[in-house]
Amino acid sequence: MSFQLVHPSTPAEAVRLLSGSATGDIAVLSGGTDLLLDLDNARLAPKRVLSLRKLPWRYLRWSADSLVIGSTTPLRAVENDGEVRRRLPGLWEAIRDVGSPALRSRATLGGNLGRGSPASDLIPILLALDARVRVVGPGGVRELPVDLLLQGSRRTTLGPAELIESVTLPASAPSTYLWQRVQPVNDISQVGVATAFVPQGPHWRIALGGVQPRARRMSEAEGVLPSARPSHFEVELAAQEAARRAEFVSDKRATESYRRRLVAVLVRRAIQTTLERMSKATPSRKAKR
Amino acid sequence: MTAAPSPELRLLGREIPYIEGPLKVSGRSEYTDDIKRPGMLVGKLLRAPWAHAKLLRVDVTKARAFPGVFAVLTGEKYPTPFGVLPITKDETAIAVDRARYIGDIIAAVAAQDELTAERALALVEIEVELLPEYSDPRVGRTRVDVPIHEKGLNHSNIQKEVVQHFGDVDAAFRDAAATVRVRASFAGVTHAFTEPQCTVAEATPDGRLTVWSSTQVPHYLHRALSEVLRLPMHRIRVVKPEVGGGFGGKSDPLPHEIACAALALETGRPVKILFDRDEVFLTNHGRHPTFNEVRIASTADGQLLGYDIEALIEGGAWSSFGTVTTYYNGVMAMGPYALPSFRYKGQRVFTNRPPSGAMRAHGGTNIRYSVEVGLDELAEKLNLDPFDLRSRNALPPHSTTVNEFRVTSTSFLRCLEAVRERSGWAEKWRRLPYGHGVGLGCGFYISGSNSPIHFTPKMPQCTVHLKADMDGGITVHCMQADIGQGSNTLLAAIVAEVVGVSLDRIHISPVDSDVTPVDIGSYSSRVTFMMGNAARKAAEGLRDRLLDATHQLTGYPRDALRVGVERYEVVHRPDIGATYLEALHQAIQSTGAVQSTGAYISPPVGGTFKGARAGTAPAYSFAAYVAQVAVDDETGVYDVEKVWAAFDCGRPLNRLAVEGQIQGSIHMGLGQFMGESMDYRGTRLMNPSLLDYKIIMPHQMPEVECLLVGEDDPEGPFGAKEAGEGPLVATLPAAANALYDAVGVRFYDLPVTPDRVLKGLDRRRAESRVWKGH
Repeated sequence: MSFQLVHPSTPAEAVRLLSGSATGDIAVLSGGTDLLLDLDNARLAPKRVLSLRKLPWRYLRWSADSLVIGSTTPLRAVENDGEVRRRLPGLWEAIRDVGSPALRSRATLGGNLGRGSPASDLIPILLALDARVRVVGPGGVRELPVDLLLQGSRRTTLGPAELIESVTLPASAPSTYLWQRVQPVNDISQVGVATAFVPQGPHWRIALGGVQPRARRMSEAEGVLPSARPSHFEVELAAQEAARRAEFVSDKRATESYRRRLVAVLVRRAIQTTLERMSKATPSRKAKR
Repeated sequence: MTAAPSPELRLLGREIPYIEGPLKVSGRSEYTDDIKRPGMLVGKLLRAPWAHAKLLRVDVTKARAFPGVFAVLTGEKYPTPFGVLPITKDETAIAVDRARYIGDIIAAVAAQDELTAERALALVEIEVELLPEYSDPRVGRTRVDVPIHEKGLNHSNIQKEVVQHFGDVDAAFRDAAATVRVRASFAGVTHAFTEPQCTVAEATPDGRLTVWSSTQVPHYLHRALSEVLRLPMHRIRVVKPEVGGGFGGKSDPLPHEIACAALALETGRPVKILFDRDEVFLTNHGRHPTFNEVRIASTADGQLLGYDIEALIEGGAWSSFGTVTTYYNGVMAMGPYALPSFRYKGQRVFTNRPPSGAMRAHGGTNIRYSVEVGLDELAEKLNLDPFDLRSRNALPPHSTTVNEFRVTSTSFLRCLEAVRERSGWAEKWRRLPYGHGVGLGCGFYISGSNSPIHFTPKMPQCTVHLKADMDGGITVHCMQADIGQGSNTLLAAIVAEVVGVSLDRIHISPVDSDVTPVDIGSYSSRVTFMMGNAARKAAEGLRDRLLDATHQLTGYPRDALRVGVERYEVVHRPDIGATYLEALHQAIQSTGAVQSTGAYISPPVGGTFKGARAGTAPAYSFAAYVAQVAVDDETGVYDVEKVWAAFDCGRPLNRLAVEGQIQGSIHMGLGQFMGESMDYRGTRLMNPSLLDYKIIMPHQMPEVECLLVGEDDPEGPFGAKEAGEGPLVATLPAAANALYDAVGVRFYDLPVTPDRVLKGLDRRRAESRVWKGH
C-alpha cells in the first residue's frame, strides 16, 4: 500500500484538497484508529491521505452555557478535563471507557462521529446531550444536530468535501452513560445507554448505541418521563418502552434477546444514576418543583 | 509421609527471579523472529479456503515464474505423513491430495520479500472437487459419505474409540443410595500464547540443515523433520531460541516447520516463516470441543461407589495428540478420590475444522469440571458439606487406583483443610446473601507422562550434562524447553544448590541438538520432575568430584567433608577446607574441564491392559480451590472476586514460578469458563483474532491466594512435583459451584456467558425454585 500524505494547515486548504479529489482517491486522517484498520484490510486504497493534524481544531472552549470541542481533540484530552467530569458526567463516562489509554490518546471526537459506528460509545451521549455539529465545506459553514448528521455505519450526511470542525454541547447536564461489554476495556459495547436531563424542551433524553443499525434517541421512552422527578414506576415504564421500541440486531457480540434485556436494565439504571446526580447537584428551581 | 528428608536447602524453595528476566524485559532475548541470516527469504503459506476438497490440480507455474520468487512447493515432493504420536501419523507438511479444513496448507512459497511471496501465492491455480463438509462431531460417529481420513472406524469420522471398565459399575449403581448425572458441553478454546509460531531454516553446502523454531519439543520436531525430509537426524540441527509461550500449542511438530525446512532445502537459502495471528488460530491444536456425561454412584453417607463416564471430543482435521486425549478424558477423573469402580467410553471424531490437540491440563479440564460439579450436586443430595464428601473419599498416599495408577505422595487432605480455613468456608457457604457465593473444586494431574512417546522407557527421558572449567563457571547442557515457565532458572538453581555455588556461576546452554543431550520437551508437566532429577544427579556427580579434590587438598576423607557456600569444608572443623575455585582447579589438573552427566528414566508403573499407560506418571499433583463470586442477576454479569488455591506440588522449588503458574492457570481456566470460545459458523472459524477471541482482562482477574501445602514427594527432585497444568483444572468447577451457591443455578454449557446466566436464572424462576429468598 502506498499513498501520498498531505497535511493542510488551514480548513480552506483542506476543503480545497478534498474538492479536487475523486471520492475513494482521498481519505481523511484524524486520529487514524479506524482508518489504519481500513487501510490494513484494504477496505480503502486511497491515493492520498489528508491529515487534519495541522488544523487548529484541538481545543475545549467553555462559555456560560456551552462547551465547544474541536473535532481533532483527542479523547484523552476531553477525559482529562476535570470540568467535563464534573459538569457532563455522562460524556466523561462514555469517553473514559473507550478502548485503552493509548487508543484514546490518538482517537478524536470528530473521527468517532464521522465514522458513525452503530456501536460508538460517544454518539449516544452526544445524542442525549443534543450536541450540535459545525461543518465546513465548499459552501461555507453549516450547523446541524448530531441526529441529522448520522445515517448509518460509515454513512453520514457530510458532503465529500466537508469536514467536522467542532461539536457544541451544553455547559452542564446531569447525565449518565452505561455500557455492557464482554471485556471491560479494549472491547466494543454490546449495549450503550445514555441518559441526560436538560432544562429546556423535553427534559429527559435517552439514546441507545450498540443495539440498532444506528445509534438513536428513544423518544417514545423519553415521553414516559414527564417530570424532573419520575416515579419508580415511570422509570421502569420508560426502560421497558426503550427495550420494546428499539430495533435490535443479533451479531457476534450478543444476541438480540440479550440486548433487549440489557437495554431495559441499563436504561433504568442510567435514569436512576442521573436522578442521583441531579439531587447531588445544586437543585435548580425547576427541579425543586 | 515416607519422603526422604531433603537436606537444608539454601536456594531452592525460595522465590528465585527468572535468570533470563533482565534480558526479556530489556528486549535483548532472542526469539525465532529475531534470527536474521544472510540472504534470508520470506516463506508464506497458501491456505485452503474450502473446508473439505479434493485437489484436482495445483498449478504453480505462474507463481514460480513471478520475479523474486525462489521456490514454490506443493504436497507431492514431501508426502510422508507425520504426527506427534507414531501410531497416528496423518498430517502432511503440505496437503497432498485433499484439503481438510479452512486453513490447511496447499502450497508454500519462498520469495525475496513478503509482498512478493503474497503476490506469488495469488498466482497459484487450483482446481478442486468439493467434498461433503463435517462440522459436527455427533454426525461423524456413524457412516459418512466421505470420511475425512481413510482409516475412520467403519467408514465414519471416528479417529479413536476407548472403552474401559474397572470394578463393577453396574453393581455400584444398583447398590447406590444416591446417584447424580451431569451432562455438559464445552466450546473449543485455544492457547492464545503471545509469540506467534515462527521457524527459520537453513540448508548449508556441507549437507546439513539447521532449523530454529518456536517449539516446546525440539526432539520430536527433530524426528519429524528427519522422517519427512528423508535426512538422517545427525545431519539436522534443531535449535530452540526463547519461546513466548506454548501451553501445549507448540508441542506437536507442525506442518509449517517442515514446509519451511523444505523451502530451505529447495532454495539453498535461509527461509523464515512467521505466522500472522489468524494463522495461529487456524493452526490451533487447542482444547477439544467436548460433550461429556458423568454418572456418580455413592452410599448414603457419601462413600463413592463408581463413575460411569462418556465423552465425545471433536478432533478437527488431524489426529495430533488425540489418542492420548481420548484416554485422558476418562482417566483424568481417577483422582483425587478413591474409586472402587469406573467405566469409560470415549470417542474422538474428526471434523473439517482446525485440529484440536494438547492444551494446558490436557484432557483433564473438561472431565474434571463435570465430575466436580457432579460431586457438588451429590453433596447437596446427601445433605453433606462438599468438603466432607471429598475428604471422606480422598485417595490415600501410597495406593493404587482401580485402573492401576501408582499413587505415591498426596497432600490432598492438607489442601482441603488449608483452603477450607483460609477461605472462611464455614461462615460463607450457603450463608452469603443472594447473588454471592463460594464453591469448591478439586484437581488431580500427572506430574509427567510416564511414557516417552517415541522410544521405549529404556532410554532416558532427560539427560543433563555439566561442564566446569578454569573460569569457574558451570555450563549446563540439556534439551529441556524453557517456554517462559522458568525451567532454565530451575535447572540453574538445582545445580547451584547441589554444587554449593552462587547462581551467577551457572550458564544454561541454548537448546541445540548438536550440543544439548535429549530431553523430550515441555509437555505433560514433566520438566520439573524429570529434568530436576537428571540435573540433581549430574550436579551430585560434579559435587563429588569437587569433594574428592577437597580431600586431596586437605587430607580429610570424603565422608568428613560437606558442601558450604562456595566452599567445601570439614564437618567438625569448618575452618579447614577449600574454596570452590581451589577445589575445581585441583580437579581440573588431572582431567581438564570437569564433566558430569545425569539422566532420568521413569519407574515401571501401571497395568498391562490396552491403554494402561495413558495417565500413568511417576507422581501426581493435587488441588483444592475455593472461588468466591458476585452475580448481577439483572445483567448476568458476574465477578470472580477471589480464588483460594491450595495446591500440592510436593515441595515448591521456586515459589515465584509456582505462584506464577497458579495465577496463570487460574487466568486460563477462568477464560475458558467465562468467555473464551472458538466460534464457528459451520466449518469457518469466526473469531481468529485476539480482538474477537475474548481472553479475560486483568480487570477480570480475581485476587489469588496460593496455599502451597504439599509434603515432599519421595521420588521428585528435592520432593517436588508439577505445577504447570494441575493448577488449572480445579478453577472451572470452583467457579461453577460458587455460581450455584450465589444464585441457585447449575451451568452445564461452557463458556458461562452473562447471556447464559440470565437464561439459567429464567429456568430457575420457571421452575418456581426459590434460592436464598429470591
